[in-house]
This record gives sequence, structure tokens and C-alpha cells, in this order.
Amino acid sequence: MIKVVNAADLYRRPLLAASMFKDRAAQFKYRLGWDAVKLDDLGLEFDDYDALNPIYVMVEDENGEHCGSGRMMPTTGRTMIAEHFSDLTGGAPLSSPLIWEITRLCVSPRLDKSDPMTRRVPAALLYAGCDLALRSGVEFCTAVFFKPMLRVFKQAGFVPEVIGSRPSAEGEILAGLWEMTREATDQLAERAGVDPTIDLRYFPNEAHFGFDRAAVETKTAHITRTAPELAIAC
Amino acid sequence: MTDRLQQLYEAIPEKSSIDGVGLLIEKVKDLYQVAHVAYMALSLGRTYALSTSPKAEGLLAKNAGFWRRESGALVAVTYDQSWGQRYAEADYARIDPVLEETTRSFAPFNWKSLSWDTRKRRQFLREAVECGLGNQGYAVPVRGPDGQFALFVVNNTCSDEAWERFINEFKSDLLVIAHFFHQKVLEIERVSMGAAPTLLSSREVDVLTGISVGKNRAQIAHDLKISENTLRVYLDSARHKLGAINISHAVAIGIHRGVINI
Repeated sequence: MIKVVNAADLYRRPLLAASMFKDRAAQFKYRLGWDAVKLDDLGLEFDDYDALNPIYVMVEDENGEHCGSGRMMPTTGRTMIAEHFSDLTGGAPLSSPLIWEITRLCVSPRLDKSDPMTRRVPAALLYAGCDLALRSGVEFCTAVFFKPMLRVFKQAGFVPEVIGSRPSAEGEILAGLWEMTREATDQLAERAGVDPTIDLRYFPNEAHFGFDRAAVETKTAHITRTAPELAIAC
Repeated sequence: MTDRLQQLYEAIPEKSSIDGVGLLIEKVKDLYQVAHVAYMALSLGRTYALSTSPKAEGLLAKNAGFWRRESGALVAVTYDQSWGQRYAEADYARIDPVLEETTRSFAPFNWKSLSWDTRKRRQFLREAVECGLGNQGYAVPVRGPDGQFALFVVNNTCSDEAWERFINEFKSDLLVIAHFFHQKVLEIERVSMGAAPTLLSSREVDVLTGISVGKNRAQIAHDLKISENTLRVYLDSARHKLGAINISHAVAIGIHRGVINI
């Protein structure tokens, strides 16, 4: 299921919330080894921006556990790109109500990489984020990511325009920009196998994904969490 | 964004004053043909204390136009004062679902999506309508750095379908207008503390300068070796930082403040 969840509503899905923060720890701290990422006493990755009432786009499995997520914030307030990466956007942060930021885009490292459903998770997350932005009147989204993520975006069929880059000890860091259009969002819906008529803005609305109109067998495909291998090179 | 923003820009008084900004709320109402418009500053951040600021009190003096103090917020509204009074009397801030949703999320929302199913909330809506408000509403939460928190609302009487169409057509305009009001209030309230520096990036200055000397967008993008989409982003970010309603306005402010030199 895909959902859009306000930070203020996370308490209503405690398992989903906890497994998201845990998967983020696994992904960003242990797998990618980002120095700046701090964990709390329970081993959860929760940063300053999580405390600023962001909106999460989330994919959960049939048990209500986290499969993937991303965090959206308006660029009129505090953002990660403004506070840590403004050198990538021409020397000062971007700021407009028509521009949102996506951060902590994460696919659960515990998912089975060979499962076709796993490969649809990034498209599903991007779909939910774009749909929310578009319905809100937002025209652009930005994100900062490491170069290998371009491959993930390409696979999801939604490649950002790179507007700045810099080398780092952990690899090349890029700032990307997406224009929010109905066509691109519909394409993402197609890739992810989501019904685009569901308005995900209003929790607890949720949408199935991964359903090909042609391939009926995917209807019974569940996301499996058996393989410990890490899924997607974020 | 639509060309109504240009009409709104043309209605902005030359001299910047809080009364002028208050009057614009009426202009928004006329231009977008809605029943009511409201801007409510619930907090302007740590450096401003709305409840004690003498400047804010000044706004509420006699003949201060559309500005009022209602339930602890500084508001510019087109609706009748009786609703504000009733709201305060009944302490409706405690059950107002619009206010509640604004504290929960930064995404704009249609009032219809809220939960109106308690007896108190139905009573609340009924009284609002009795005081002249429409049955439909759309709210744009405004978040700024430093805990800034405001709400911009348009309200109308029409069918659900007509209201959906309205939102769909003007949602970007309304985001811009909501933040324009907020920026304007900050700017005017900040005077006593010295003007805040507008931190434009070199890219933002470049694209704005290009526009101000009459180059077309394709040409500017080509000169700067950026795409037209990237140009639009820098231009929009410059617009917002300068507190402008559209690009023409941003150019005017940019020249006035010496941010761009032509």
C-alpha cells in the first residue's frame, strides 16, 4: 500500500513509523555509512527535520511494515538543501512555496531485490510525492543525492535535471530538480501500477500498487522481506 | 500561475504599508470572485511577539482597515467582525478543524476533506455560515523559518464540483498569494529591527537581471548554460525571496533595492 502520512499522524501507525526510522538507520548509517547520520538510543534514525512536521510518502507491506519512504518539506522553511547544500544551488538556498524538497528517499534494505514489486517501490514513492505536490499547486521538487541514485530515478522513469554537483569523500553529490507535471505523474502511476484517481492526501486513504492490468499474477505478488541483501543503491 | 497575479500586482499600492496590504485582501476577494479571504498570522517567529508588539497594536487602531486581533492571532479578513467575536466568545479555536489541520500539515487543503462530523463542529460551521461565510473553503498553511506560522483562507458559496474546479485552477496562485501576504507582514513588522538582508544566489541575480533588461527566457538560459526549467526555478525562488507576487514585481523590487543593476 502507498500512503501519504503527516508527521503528526505517524503515531497512528506505530509499526510503520518505527520500521521506517529503523530502515533509514540501516540504509543511511550502516549501508551508506553517512557520517552525519545520528541514531537515537533505540537505533532509529530521526533527525532535526523529522521534528519539523514533514509529510512522508510511504509504502508498506501487508503486515504494515515499512518498504520505502521519502520525506517532503516546503522550501519556505528549514530544509536540508538550504542548510547543508546551498553551494549546489548557486550559492544561496532555493526558497519558494512552489518548490518542495524531498529527502531521506529510502527503499527498505531488507526487501528482496529480485522481487519485481521491490523494483516498483521507487516509482511508487515518486508517484505519491509528485501527486501530492501537483494537487497542492507545487511546480518543482528538488533533492540532493549521490550519483548512483540517478540509475534508480532512471529505472523509475523520472529523471531529475542535475543543477549542481560536488565531490565528497562518499562520492559525487548532486542536486536534482523535477518539474511537476500531470503527464510525468501519470507515467509514474503506470510504472508503479497505481490507480491515479485515489487522492492520497487525505490519510488514511491509501492505494494498492504493483498491479499490471495485463498481468493478473502480480495481484497475488506480495512484497517479501526474507532476503537480507540490500535492495537499491540509494 | 495565472494572469490574475499580474492584476493583483497592479493593485499593490506604491508605498508599502500594512494598511495597503490589508486593502489587498479585498482585492484578492474581487479578483478571484470568492465570498471571503483571510490571512491570519499565528506566529511571526521568535523575534516577534504578536501579543505584546506595540506595532501590532498600532495595526489594530481605529480605521486600520482590514487588520484585527482575533483569538490571539493578527488577522486581515474580509468577513464580518461578528464572526471573529463569536469565534472568540465560544473559544472555537479549540475545535476549529481548519486550524487543527493547519497545525498538522503544511499542504494546502479543501475544507471538505476535514472531519465535520461532531455536533460541535457542525454547530461551528452553521454559525460561520450565519455570519456570512460560505460553505466551501480552501486553506493554505504558511510555514517560515524560526517557527513562523500563518494561515491563508479563501471561502465561497458554491457546489463541491465548482469549488474543486476553482482550487484546481488557482492552487498555485493561492500558494503565492498566501506567502506574499506573510512576507509583506514580516517585512513591515521588521522595520524597527532593520531590514533583513535578501539573500539571493548569484544564479538568481543573473536570471532576474536578464529578465529586467528585456532578454527572453530562452536567451538567458542559453547565456547561463542552464535549462529553461532551471531558469524558472531560480526566477521563482528570487521572486519569493524578494516578497514579490510575480516576476514583474520581483524585477521592480530588485531594482529598487539595488539587488540587480541595469
